[in-house]
Amino acid sequence: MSRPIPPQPPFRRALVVALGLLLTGMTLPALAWQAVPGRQVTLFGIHAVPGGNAVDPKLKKIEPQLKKLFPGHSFKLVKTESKRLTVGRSVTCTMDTTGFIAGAELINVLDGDGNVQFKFALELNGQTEFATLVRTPPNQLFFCDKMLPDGSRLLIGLGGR
Amino acid sequence: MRCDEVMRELSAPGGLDESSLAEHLSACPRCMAWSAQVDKLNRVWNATRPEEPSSSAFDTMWAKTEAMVSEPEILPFVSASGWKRWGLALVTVAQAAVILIAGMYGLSRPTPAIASMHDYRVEEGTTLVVRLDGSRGVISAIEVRPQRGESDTDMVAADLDVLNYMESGPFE
Repeated sequence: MSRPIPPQPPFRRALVVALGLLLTGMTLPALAWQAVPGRQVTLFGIHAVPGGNAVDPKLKKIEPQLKKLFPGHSFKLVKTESKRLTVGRSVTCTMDTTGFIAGAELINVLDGDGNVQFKFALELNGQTEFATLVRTPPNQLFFCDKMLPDGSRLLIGLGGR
Repeated sequence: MRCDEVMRELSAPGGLDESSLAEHLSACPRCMAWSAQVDKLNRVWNATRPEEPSSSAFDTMWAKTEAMVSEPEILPFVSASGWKRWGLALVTVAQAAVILIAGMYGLSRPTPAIASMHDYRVEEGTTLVVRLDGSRGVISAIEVRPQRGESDTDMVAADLDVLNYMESGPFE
């Protein structure tokens, strides 16, 4: 039975150094990324029809919360986007069926009042329909309730944590 | 009956039925507290309000005001001395220069992409809903507060549930 030949000392040293460099190269960027302050920002769109009662199976888990916020509506999930953002970065959510595009840019991770600050904008056909600065405590939602021509509503939720 | 309707009624009475108002107050501690504040304010106002002037005093004062307004204002002419004239000219030139520089700066700045920017702040324990209509823009901003028997923490928990769930998407 043949035994593997152990590497020669200089070669072994070089191997250890190479492995060390490789590990450092892999861990340092990850650590640096974690150190940069950021927020997990979530944008979502829900189509709500007044008077209805149906709830999209994808929204069943949060049906009680939605009914509390918007009683007497049926709900259908349009789109959801969630991204970890650092200051100055943004997330967009294209509401396929309606043509609206919602966008949120992280302005401040935590301001002096303990709020996360976003710039929120809603666009249709390249035109900004609505833009606002939103200051919200972490984990709390801001909703933009856009009335559509047929009387139904596009509910756009924004939150960060 | 909603709390905002009750609060409006308490501040400017006259629009709502008294029995349903009393019924709401007996069941809503928040509106009851508001009602107590309004009563307190009314008591302070009644105790400290100034006396109304008599109608003759009002007529006299009004006649004097009318007479003062209808009189032409005559300003005395004072000729400025030589150094004052130069000073005034210098101030005028400086003002014109400032206006010119400000105008040039204003023109050179990039035009903001958004004509008007709103600013909304979500209070702890509430969910803010901004309603938009196609033609009129923002039509209302509603703070959804905890319902009876709920606390601020319940609202935050509900928001967090929605946020957590949406974060776990997409739900294809």
